[in-house]
Amino acid sequence: MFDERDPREMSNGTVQSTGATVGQNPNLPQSSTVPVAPMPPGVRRTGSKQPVGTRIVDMTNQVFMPSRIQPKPDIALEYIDAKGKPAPRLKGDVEREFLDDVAAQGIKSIRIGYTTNGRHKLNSNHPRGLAADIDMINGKLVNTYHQDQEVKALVDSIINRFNARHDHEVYGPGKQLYRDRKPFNNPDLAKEHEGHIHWTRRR
Amino acid sequence: MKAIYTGRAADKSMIGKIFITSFLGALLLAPVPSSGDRAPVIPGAKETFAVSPSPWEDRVLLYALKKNVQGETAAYVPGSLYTLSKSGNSWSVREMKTIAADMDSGKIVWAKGNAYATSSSGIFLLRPSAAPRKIYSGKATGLAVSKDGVYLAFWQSPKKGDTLTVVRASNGHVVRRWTRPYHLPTESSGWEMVFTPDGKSILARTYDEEEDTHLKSFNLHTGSITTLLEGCNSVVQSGAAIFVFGGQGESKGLYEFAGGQLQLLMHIDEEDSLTPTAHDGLVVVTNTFDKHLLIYDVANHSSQAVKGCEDGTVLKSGQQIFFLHGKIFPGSAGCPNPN
Repeated sequence: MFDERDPREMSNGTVQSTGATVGQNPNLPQSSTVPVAPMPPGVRRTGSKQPVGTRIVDMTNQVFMPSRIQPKPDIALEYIDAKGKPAPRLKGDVEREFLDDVAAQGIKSIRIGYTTNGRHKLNSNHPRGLAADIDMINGKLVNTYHQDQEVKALVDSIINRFNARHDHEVYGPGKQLYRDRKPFNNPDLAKEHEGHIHWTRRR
Repeated sequence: MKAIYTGRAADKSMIGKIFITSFLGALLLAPVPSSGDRAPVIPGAKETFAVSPSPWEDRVLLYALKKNVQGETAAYVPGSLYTLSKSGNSWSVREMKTIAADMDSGKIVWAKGNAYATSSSGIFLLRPSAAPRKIYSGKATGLAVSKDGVYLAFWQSPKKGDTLTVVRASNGHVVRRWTRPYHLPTESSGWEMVFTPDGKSILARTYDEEEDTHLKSFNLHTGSITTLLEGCNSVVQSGAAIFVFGGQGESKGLYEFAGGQLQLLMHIDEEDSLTPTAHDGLVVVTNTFDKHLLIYDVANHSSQAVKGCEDGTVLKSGQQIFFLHGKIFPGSAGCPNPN
């Protein structure tokens, strides 16, 4: 079978720390297990370039491993904007990097609403195809961060993992703004990220 | 010229003709810089933004950054205000160090012979032969001035939502406010707004709906809000005319707002923006990322494509100027060939 885990997690068959203490969200319990919610019916809107229900599985660094090692669960990734229209897919190597980065514990599905689509700020990484906005995780909208503890845990888990993996722009709900893993304040940028997580490819 | 720039929604069979008229338009519109023309230079500039030409003379106001910036946070790096003036064949460049704004909030508008510019500390009135005067304290994002110069409109950002504020330019007294939530699940991309020619309403890009950035009309007298266009990338005032870029599908493209209505001028299926010119009938459609510009001539329904520059405008005399990485070119020939 193929083991789809990150090579950094496979040195001795156990999951290694990826350095999550750096840039870690203090609000997230360190040993938290993120509950997983199935994608509710009707969430996958029609019109996506990806067939409904398609799973884009991260096949980076495929390694033949003994079957006794449990593979990391794959992540259903869909590209649909807020209007229900298909969003442009990240290019191969960028998408693989995104999937590596987003594979926090308990993440089963991710919806990306914006990549190169839509107009963005001048000098944004979106038009370059190097940024993605996540607005739904495991079938739940990111904008319910302050109302839904499950969403909060999922979002915080992803942001922690992004930061641990050296992403250079990571913005999300709860005024979580990081550039090169360093937190900073910007009320305008914070307000604009209450409903999604902004990911930018590593430099 | 990209094919997508050539199709008008009303008549796809016009594609070939528009190619030809675009080419002819390019010949007619493109000025040939005289041998005495020397490009104006902003020393150390890496980026220019909020380009705004005077409707009355060969002068343009803009902001310039002196360091390279990248990413979403780049929108919050301030740069100084500059004025570029042309007299005969010579250009003058002047920095106004006391006024600085970032790409998110920087905006310059003109009315009644004066200019108004936002800065990180407030709104300044710029009069000929007079020192800049701060007429509103506090951060203002985006800016519009009524034709008679009586009202100013701008966005403010309280802790929750965004507030469209209208004040009297003479004393800064608030006339009306609308607070709108931020619901778009992606970052903002500009806060352009204009007053309608009758001064009764403000047309502004909004982020208060999840689906898209809409163009909405805010009635100054009744307070009512009306959606005019679903999907709006830009709204600018060129001379006295108002142009909008937005819409969806076959209806996406460049519009003119006239007689209280939006009229589609050209179908363009890109995420473009607009830069005003000094003329009612000319507007620049900009694709900053692809460095692809289109100068659209309303009267002749013709267009001039310019590749290799990020931004451009047309001054009162018809002089074209273009911008790339902080450099200024008096003519499209200065824009480097992207190939």
